[in-house]
Amino acid sequence: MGLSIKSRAAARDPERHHADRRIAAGLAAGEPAALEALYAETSRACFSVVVGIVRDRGHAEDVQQQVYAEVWRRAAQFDPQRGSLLTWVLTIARSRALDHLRRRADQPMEADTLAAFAGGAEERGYDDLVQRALVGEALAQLPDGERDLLRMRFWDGLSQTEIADATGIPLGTVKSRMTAGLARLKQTLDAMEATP
Amino acid sequence: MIDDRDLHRHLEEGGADLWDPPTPPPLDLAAITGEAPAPYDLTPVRRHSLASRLRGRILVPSFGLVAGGMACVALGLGLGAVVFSGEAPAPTVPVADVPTPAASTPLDPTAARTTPQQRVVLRHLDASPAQAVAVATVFSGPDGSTVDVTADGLPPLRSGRFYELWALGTKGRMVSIGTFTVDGQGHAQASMSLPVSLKKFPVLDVSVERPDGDPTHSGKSLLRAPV
Repeated sequence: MGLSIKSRAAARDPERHHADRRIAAGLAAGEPAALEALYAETSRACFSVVVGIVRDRGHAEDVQQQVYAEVWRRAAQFDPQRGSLLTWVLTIARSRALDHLRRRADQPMEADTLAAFAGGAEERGYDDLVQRALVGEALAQLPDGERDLLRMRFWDGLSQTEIADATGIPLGTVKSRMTAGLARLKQTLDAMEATP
Repeated sequence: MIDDRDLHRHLEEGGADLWDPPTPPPLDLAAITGEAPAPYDLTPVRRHSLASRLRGRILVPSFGLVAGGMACVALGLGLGAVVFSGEAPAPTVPVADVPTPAASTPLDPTAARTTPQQRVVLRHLDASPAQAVAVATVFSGPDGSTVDVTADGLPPLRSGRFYELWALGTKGRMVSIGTFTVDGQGHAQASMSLPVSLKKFPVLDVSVERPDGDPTHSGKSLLRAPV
């Protein structure tokens, strides 16, 4: 099972990296279609980061637009040696969302946001938010069966035995699918963060 | 590279946004590049469906599909709309041990029973999607108080699981007000009896609960607001 997953993941990585290169080249050439393709690939994770920081959907939508406007303007500056397109977009998203928060510093803010600013802990917290968005994006790319089992285990808090009872899937199969799902998740994350 | 410990931490503590990330807005390509906008539908339509029932409490149908026979419910909702339409949210009200944003209108003890007495907007906490929100409208009168809840953006739950509305007091005291589920669009409307005074239990909270026979709060709060 492990070898099978590794071989499939390895087969996907070149495609992902090839797509990254193609989009990056299109952006650098000023092709709007490349921006559309990038948005299709990265907007979900980007919006998760922005919403997580800004904590207001209306403001987050404005910031999201600013992020991709900046991506468009700075396309030529993207350095594939420093990371993937996704991590580059998320880095910009984090910065623009924090800028937005700072601009609104004189307005009422949620207590935990204020505490984060006051304690200087926001940098670590927001880095963690970017990492969580990557995990969420990797989860979204898992096959439904594996993702559902992981959701039941980690979000619903069911034991593997309870999952087997609830789904009618044999316990051994639950265990093996969960192991496979976690391995695939890890490999997807590694591929996301890898340079193209 | 993320290590296994961080991966497990995110899976366990990532909250609902991890499993059901908020839907990003459409790209405004024209504003960024000057090109024509993408040829896809930019106006998704939310379809409000009839709510379900749970634990013997009948949930109120959504605004768009109110049945003709439910005149009293329609009257209540209509009055609510008249009273509250156009009202700006009140400023955030700090609560000693429950830091949450909220907006509410003041209680009017002289109003009739069918007149909405108070409107509380429950905002999302970290564990819920950012777009999740619920509005609790309190009705009060000589026969007791009721609360109508309209929720949107909550994740649909697996069979058997449900959302529960709580009134939280001080020192960890809390009272369950009622339960509800959401439709496939994350929408619900429910009407519940209010068993306690919100002056003594001044925070409303929505939790997600498992059908485990445990009547206590699961600890998984998704929405909350002080009254």
